[in-house]
Amino acid sequence: MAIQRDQIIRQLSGLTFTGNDDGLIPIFGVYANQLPVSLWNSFAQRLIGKVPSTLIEPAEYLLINAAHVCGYHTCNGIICSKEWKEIVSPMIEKMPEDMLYGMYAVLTAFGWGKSEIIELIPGERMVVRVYDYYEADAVQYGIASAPCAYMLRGINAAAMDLVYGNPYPNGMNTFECIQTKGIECKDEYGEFIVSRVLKK
Amino acid sequence: MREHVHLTTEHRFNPLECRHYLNGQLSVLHCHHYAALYTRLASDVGFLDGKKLLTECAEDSFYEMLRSYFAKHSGIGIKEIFDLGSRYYSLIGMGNMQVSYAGQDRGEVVLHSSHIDTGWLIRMGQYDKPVNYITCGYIAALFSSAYGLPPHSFDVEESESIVTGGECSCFRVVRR
Repeated sequence: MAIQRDQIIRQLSGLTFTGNDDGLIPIFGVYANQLPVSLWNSFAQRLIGKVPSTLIEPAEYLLINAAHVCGYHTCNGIICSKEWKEIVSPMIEKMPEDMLYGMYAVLTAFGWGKSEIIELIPGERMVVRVYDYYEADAVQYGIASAPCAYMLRGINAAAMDLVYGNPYPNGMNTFECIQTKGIECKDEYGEFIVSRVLKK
Repeated sequence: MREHVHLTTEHRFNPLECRHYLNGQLSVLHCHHYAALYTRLASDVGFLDGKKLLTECAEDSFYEMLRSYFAKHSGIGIKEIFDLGSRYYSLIGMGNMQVSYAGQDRGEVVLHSSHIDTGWLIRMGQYDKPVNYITCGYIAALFSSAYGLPPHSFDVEESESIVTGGECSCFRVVRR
């Protein structure tokens, strides 16, 4: 059986989480939160809006890095989780590529964006399209001058790090991601290209 | 006045757009790494007063969330509102909150466990200053919405903190 994306999304998206006695949600090897999307978007947008233009790129890097680190550990938590073993593992035929396809189904179920891999050169390059991602909500009118899906950029690089980088936890920053299209720029979807970090 | 109001939870996943709605509010699952790193980022951009920025963003978001939630429970009193607000904090995975006391001019809040502090300790270890800016925003939103005031009506200061070695985190609230 190959990865049944719709089935994974249906099964995982139906899970309801609530805090335990400590008010914490320990799932997928991390402590999860389920905060309003507006919090994450507004902090990123206001931060970028407030920094001097010369510091926009470093500030963007910090936002991307937060997601990169988060994505690396969370994705590892996902593939080590009971839910993964029960729902996704039985569908895996080809390693490690199916792991990536499964991971993107899980991330879609999390509400990070309706994402699909449209091109994959194992170990080298991946192109991901994402529809309806929440970061695009930051632009409600007009066309943004530059794409701003910082979270997705970090997550996409992290997914490749985990699958094709050195074994966890030593594979981070093997890959980097650029965003070439964005709903916030009036494209139909966000497009993300992940490739190996060029060694200097 | 009712003694205890049930914390209702309505979780809906829209399969077309693949988005989660918790009690009607667009929400998303993230983890302690992300929350801790955003907090660290806010702490690091001192020249922009990043702590205040993150607190205000949190307050604006939570104010909307709590106001719409309380609006569905018309007729409840202050005690029930603070009780619901504390339990809502747990529902979203932020920790175990107890409002020690609250009035229109000031109050105190204690966290017996905290998502932000737990995440910070795992990632960064102990620190010499409190870091729970997101919870400062939550508490400010809770007080403002409880008293029917606009957002940014209260200042919240974290006076003790789990990340600095305290057993709990304490917050002082005062009307602006």
